[in-house]
Amino acid sequence: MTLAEALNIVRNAPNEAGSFDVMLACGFTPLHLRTFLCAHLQQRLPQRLVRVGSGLYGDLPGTLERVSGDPVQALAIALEWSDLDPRLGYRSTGSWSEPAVRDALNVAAAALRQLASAIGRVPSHVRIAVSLPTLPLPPLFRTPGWQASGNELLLEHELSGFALELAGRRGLAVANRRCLEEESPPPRYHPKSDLSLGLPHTPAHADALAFTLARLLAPAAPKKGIVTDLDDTVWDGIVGEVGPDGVSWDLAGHHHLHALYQKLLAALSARGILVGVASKNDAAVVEKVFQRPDLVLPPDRVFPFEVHWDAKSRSVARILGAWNIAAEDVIFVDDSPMELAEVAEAHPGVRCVRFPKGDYQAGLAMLRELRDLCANEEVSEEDSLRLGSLRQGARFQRLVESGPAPESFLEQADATVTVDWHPAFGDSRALELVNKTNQFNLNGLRFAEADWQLRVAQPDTVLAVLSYEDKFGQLGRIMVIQGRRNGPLLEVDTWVMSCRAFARRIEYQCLRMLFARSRVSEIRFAFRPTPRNGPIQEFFTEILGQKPEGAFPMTNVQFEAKCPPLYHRVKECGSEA
Amino acid sequence: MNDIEKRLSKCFRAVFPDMAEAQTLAATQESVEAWDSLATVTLVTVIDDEFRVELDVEYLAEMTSFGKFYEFLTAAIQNGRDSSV
Repeated sequence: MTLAEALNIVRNAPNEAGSFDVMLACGFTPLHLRTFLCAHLQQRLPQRLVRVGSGLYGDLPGTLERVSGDPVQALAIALEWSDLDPRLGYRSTGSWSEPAVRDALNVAAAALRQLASAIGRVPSHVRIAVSLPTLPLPPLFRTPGWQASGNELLLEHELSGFALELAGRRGLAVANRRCLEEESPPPRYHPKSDLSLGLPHTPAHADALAFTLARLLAPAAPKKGIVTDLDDTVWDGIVGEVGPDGVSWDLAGHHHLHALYQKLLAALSARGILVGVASKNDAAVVEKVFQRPDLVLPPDRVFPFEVHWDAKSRSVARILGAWNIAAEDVIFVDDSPMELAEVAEAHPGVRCVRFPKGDYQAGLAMLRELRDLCANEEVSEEDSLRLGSLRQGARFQRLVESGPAPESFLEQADATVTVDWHPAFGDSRALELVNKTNQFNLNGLRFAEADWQLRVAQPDTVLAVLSYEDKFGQLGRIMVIQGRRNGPLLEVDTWVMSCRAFARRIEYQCLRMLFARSRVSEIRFAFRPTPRNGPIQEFFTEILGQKPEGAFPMTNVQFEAKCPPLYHRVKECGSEA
Repeated sequence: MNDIEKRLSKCFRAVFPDMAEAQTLAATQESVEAWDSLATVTLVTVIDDEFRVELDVEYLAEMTSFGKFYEFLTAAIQNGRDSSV
C-alpha cells in the first residue's frame, strides 16, 4: 500500500459508522505508521470508523499509562530499541563503550519490566498488539556483525522473556518477528529520516509493520472447515490404480509432504476445525486405506466422507449441509486445477487451495497458509465438542427421519437446557459465538471485545448463555441472548444460536425462559434481515405470521400461541439478572 | 495542466483532501491551513511514491508551495535523475 492509497482509504472511511478507537504507542514520530495502521484497520473493519491516536514523542511509558483513562478499544505498541535505552538507537550521542553498553543493557532490562507492568494495567477489554523492535541495532557491540555477541544475546534474552510474559495475557498478541522479517526485508531503517525527523522506518516498512499490527488487532474470522481430496493430496498415488497398499506418504518413498499434510489436518481437527473428504473414488477402496495403521490422519477425525464419482462441487455442497456452515467458512484442497475451478464456480465463497504435488517449497507454504487461515488464539471446550456434536446431529437427523415420529423423538431425547444468566466477565465464548454465527443471528452485528464488554457491563443488561445436551451427547454452549430492560419492555439487541443446535426447539425454550425471568409482557427484537440469517427469519415468521422487515415487538401471548411443546429439562445458574 | 502538474496535483489532494484540483496550482504553506511540517513530510513521501524521485530532507524547509515542488520535480526529471537531489 502506498501512503497516498492509505490516505485515500482513511479519507473515505464511513463517517456515520460507530468508531473503533485505537491508541498507537511508540517512542518515535508515528506519522506514516499511524496513517498506514489506520488504513489497514479500516480495510479490515469496513463498517467502522477507525481512529488512531498517538502519544507524545519519546514517551512510550507515558502513552501506556494514559490508555487506562482513554476510551479506546485497541492498543498498538510499536517498540524500537531506542525505547529501551536511547543508546540503543542512532539519535543518541551516548557512549558505545563497553561499560556504557553494559549499562544500557541494564537500563533496557529495567525498561522492559516497566513496560510489562504498564501493559498489565491496561484495562482487560482493550485488545493489544505488540511488535518487538524491528530495526537493526547500531554497531555498539565489539563482535563483528556476523558474530552474535554475548551482550546482544543477553538483550534478546531479556526481550524474549518480556514477550513471553505478555503473550500469556488474554487479548494480547505479540507480532512474530520472523514472519515480519519475511514480509518486510531490509532496508527497513531510513537513517536520514530518523536523524532529521524522528521517522525511523522506510515507508515500505511502516506499511508492513502497520499491516502486522492491524492483523493482530482485528484478526480475520478463522475458517471452520477443510474439505480435502485424497489421491495425490492426502496420499501420493491414485488409489483406484495402485490399490490401498500402493498409495504412500512416507519419507522413504519421497512422499513425506503428504504425511505433513495429514499431520496438519489431524492437528487442526483436534483444535475444532472440521475435516471432510470429497474424492472421486470407489468408497470401499478408500475405506481400506483409512484402515491402514500407518495413516497419520486418524479416520475418526474426518466427517463426512463424500467418496463416489459425483461432481466435487456437489460433494462440497453436501458437506456444507452436514456441517451446516457457509461456503465462506470453508477451504477446499485439491491437486487438480480443474476440480478447484469446478468447486470455485459452484461455491464462490469457498477458499480453494491447490495441493502442489512434488513442489516442497510450495507445499510448505500451503501448510502455513492452511494453518494461518484456520488459526485461533484460543481453543474452547466447544471446539473439542464440535466434531462429536456434528456426528450426533447427523445421527439425530437420521433418527428423526427414519425412527419414531419427530414429536415423540424430541420427547424421548432426554434433553437438558442449562442457562447461565450471568456468565463470568471475560468469558470469551459468548462473544466468539456472536461473532461467528451467521444463520440464526438476530441482525449480523459483530463486536470488538471492548464494545462487547462495555455493552454487557451496563446495569440494565440481561445476558444469557445457553448450553444443551441430550442422550446423544453434549453440544456445549450454543446460544447467546443479550438485551436491555427499558421500562416494561425488554429490548433484545443480540441473539445467536449455533447451527449445530437447530431443530431442538432451544430457541423456543430460550424465549419462554426470558419472558418468565424478565417478567415482561413484550420483547422488542432489534432484528435486521441479512443475506445469511434465513433460519431466524423463518423462526420469527412462524410466530408472527409474517416475515419481519426490521425491528419488531413480540408479546408473550403471541409467543405462547405458537410455541410448540417443549420437553427440555431446564437448569439455571448465575446470579439474578 | 501538463502531466507533471496533474500528477503533482493528485499528490496534493491526497494529503489535503478538501482542496479542489484548480486550487492546487496556487497552494502555498500560508494559504493552506492544514499545511504544517508533518503535512510536508507526508507530501514528500506521497510525491516520492508517485514520481520515484527522492527529495532530500535538507530541502524540506524550501518546499513551501506547489510551485516549489513543481520546480524541483521538473529539474529532477529533466536531469534524468531518479535518486537523491
